[in-house]
Amino acid sequence: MISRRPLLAGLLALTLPVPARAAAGPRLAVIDWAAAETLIALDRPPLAISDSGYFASRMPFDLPPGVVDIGPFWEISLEYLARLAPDRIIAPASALMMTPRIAEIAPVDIVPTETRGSRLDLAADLARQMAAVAGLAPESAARLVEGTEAALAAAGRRAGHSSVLVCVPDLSGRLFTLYGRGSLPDAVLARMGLANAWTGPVTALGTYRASLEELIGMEEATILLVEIASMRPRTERMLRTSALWHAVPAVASGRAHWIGNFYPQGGLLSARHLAGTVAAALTQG
Amino acid sequence: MARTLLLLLAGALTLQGLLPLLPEALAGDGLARLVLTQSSLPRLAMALLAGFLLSMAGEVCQRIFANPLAEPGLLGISGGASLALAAGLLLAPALWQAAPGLLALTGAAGALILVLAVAWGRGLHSQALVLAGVMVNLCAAAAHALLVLFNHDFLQELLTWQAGSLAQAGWQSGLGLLAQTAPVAGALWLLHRPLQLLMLGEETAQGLGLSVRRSKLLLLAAAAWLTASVVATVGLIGFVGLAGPALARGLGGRSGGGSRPNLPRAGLWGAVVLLLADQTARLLSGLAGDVPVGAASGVFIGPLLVLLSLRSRSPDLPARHDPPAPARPRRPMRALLPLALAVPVLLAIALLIGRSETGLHLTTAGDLAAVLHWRLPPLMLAAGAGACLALSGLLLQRLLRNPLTSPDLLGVGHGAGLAFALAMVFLPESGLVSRFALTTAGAGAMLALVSLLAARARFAPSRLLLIGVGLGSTAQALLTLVLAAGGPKGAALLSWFSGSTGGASLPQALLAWSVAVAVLAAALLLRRWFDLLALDEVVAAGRGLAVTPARAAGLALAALAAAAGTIALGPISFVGLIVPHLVATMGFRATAPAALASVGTGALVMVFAQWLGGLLAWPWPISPGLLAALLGGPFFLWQLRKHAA
Repeated sequence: MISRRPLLAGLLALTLPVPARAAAGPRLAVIDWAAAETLIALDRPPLAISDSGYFASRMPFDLPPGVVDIGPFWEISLEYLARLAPDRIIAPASALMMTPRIAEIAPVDIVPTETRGSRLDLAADLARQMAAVAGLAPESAARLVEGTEAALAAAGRRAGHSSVLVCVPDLSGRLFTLYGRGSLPDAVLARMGLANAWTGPVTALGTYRASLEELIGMEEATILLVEIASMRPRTERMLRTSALWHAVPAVASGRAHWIGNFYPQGGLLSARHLAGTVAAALTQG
Repeated sequence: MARTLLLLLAGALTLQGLLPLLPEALAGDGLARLVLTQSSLPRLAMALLAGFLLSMAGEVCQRIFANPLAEPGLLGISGGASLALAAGLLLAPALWQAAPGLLALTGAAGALILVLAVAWGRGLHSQALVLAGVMVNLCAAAAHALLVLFNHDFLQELLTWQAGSLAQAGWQSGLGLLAQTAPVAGALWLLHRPLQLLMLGEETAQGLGLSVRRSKLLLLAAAAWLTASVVATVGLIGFVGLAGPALARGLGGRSGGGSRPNLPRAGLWGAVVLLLADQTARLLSGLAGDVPVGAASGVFIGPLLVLLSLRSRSPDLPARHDPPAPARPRRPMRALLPLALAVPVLLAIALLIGRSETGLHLTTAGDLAAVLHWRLPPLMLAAGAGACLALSGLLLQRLLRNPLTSPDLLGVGHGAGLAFALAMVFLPESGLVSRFALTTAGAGAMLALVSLLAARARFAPSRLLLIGVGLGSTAQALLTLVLAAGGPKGAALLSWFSGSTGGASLPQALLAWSVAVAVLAAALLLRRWFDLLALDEVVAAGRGLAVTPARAAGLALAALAAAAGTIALGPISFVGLIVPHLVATMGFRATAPAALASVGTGALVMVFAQWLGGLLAWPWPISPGLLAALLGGPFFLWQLRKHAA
């Protein structure tokens, strides 16, 4: 049923160090995409991450070669991870609840995933933590943080000054997920010198689901609609035929634009990418 | 009285929503008029229309099956529609863009045809139909969960859409729904008389010259059309199909409305219920963003059903006895031996064959220690939980004499899940200490509530069913709300809900096993009670059995086993629902052999599912709960087909 030779070869390959650039620093298994993104930004790509397929499709950059998939974040493959034998595991606290036995495989570094303050501060903290875990000097994290802030400020200068609403329209074109306080877009807009048009209540994730009529009251805002590729044509069609949509001030005066997808729970790279996207959308119109 | 209150409340909330807009709109304010005519009024109309249609479809199903818990969802119709929509969205977005309604109808039709095909023999016998429907639903739900888990990028879209929001932006979708359903609703009204005849019992109806099979087919197809159209337009809105007809029959147990079907009346009450639910959802939206009414209606309807069970003297529809299933030969006790041997053999195979980067991987002496360390605990846990749930299901089906009963009914799974979900979403991450502690607390709390209510209902089967479904619907609704707000944690929750073994440890597995063994021992000791209760309480009482204490003892055992299984694995209902049926088709009928066979079969099914689930999509696990439903479902349908023919 199974030929032994490829099997042995596979097992042998496992005992060899992972190729590419992982020669330096500890071998890390990461069950959190913001942490994985930060490690990649610090040029210390992890040995393994949870759900690499999602990561590759959602992040604005390519996953370095050689990073293996250890399963979804809610239930990584313990047997496989144990065989990979990482030096450390980086995970949110919930991973310790879903798969408590990861602690038997390697020491677990808990990363924060929620904040009451700015998500950019959380991302900067994450960068410092990841630099320490990867055995890098604190300066490398500081460089990444400063680089990101400079990029955000530059994007802000290009974008000018206005009030912006970042939202995801739903399939029916009737409901919108708005990003408010505590979300990554909110923090990025603030650092770019732009005002977030949504200052109302939010959920723990910093989002709020609004119906179309709630957008009508926003006189000044430029609306940026986040595009989910396979859904956009239908959403557009629904919006085109909606009298309410055309009554939204931003739509009536041509201040509604589509922007590309981004990872709302991401770190500094995601923030930089989002700032660039927002600036491009605001200058194009 | 209660109905008047509902009406007044619905009216008051509607006015509260419209009043701030009306003066401005009448004064010529263009914006206010636009909001009124393009958002507020279409939403009211949609609530009334969807409520009317769902409730009418519910009434048809309840009459056909003579079961107050029957609704179109029960026949796999909404499950099929929502699965087709989710699959279309992910696999064929172009088709999904062009005609979502068509997709939903195809899915609903597919599910219904499957159910009908399975139950085709013997004039579409009601029990076979309902069993097939429940099974198709479980399979569709499992496939849906699998789609969502493997595409959690779309998770939020799929879940929120499914939660059913009535927010409107214009009249198109409402008018579309009306055009699509009006002819069918009219036809249903014309089919009023066959429905009335069917209620006299299938044989009587046949005697009066009615083609039972054709009438049922037509009626069900019409109900399916209505339900699928609503699902495609606004998403899943459950429970209206239960509550509308129940209200139309009267909460106070007046028998007057109970004997004849009244479709328009049921429809009107459904419209009122959904309007009330949606207006409440609208009020809540101001606090936390749009609240999908599909979920909010469940919150309402749960207490309503509980109330119904406590207040009403006879909440059931007129009783009707279906002919018993043909008896199969009894199997002697020694036929249990192969079953008992199969469990360790399968365990050994699962330990021997695994998967690695290079494909299938045979365990060698060198990695045996590691394999035992990592693979044995989840396997043992799945087996133990399977045994517990199967045993719980068997006891419940005997005690309540209802073949559709599963351990969910005791609220254990919902309670555990709710506690877990609330903690995941509202507690800070650092506060999440132990899933085990959370689920145990939730299960315990819900079990206490159910016991309290059940004791008030003197453990009468029909009332227990209503209480179970009512509390379950409330918990389910709260869960949908939590999931929709949960972000990425939603995936973790969903994985737990589908029965995952990622957190398994050997002590937990042993705990599940010891509960299974203890409950099995008690069931064997008390087997005479359960044999008698499964027959008839009059007979049981005549033979000197104290019915109420015996029933309470049985329920306590079932609850203990359900709690152990749920806490270990998650609230999966497949095993508890199906294994008792499988055991019966194997020929184990008396309580003692059936209990032993249930433990063996439950463990066997779950070990197999856990093993295969670890291989198929490696390193992604497919939870054994989902896989058991996906594989066991078709097998069970095939069995059912064989016996129905």
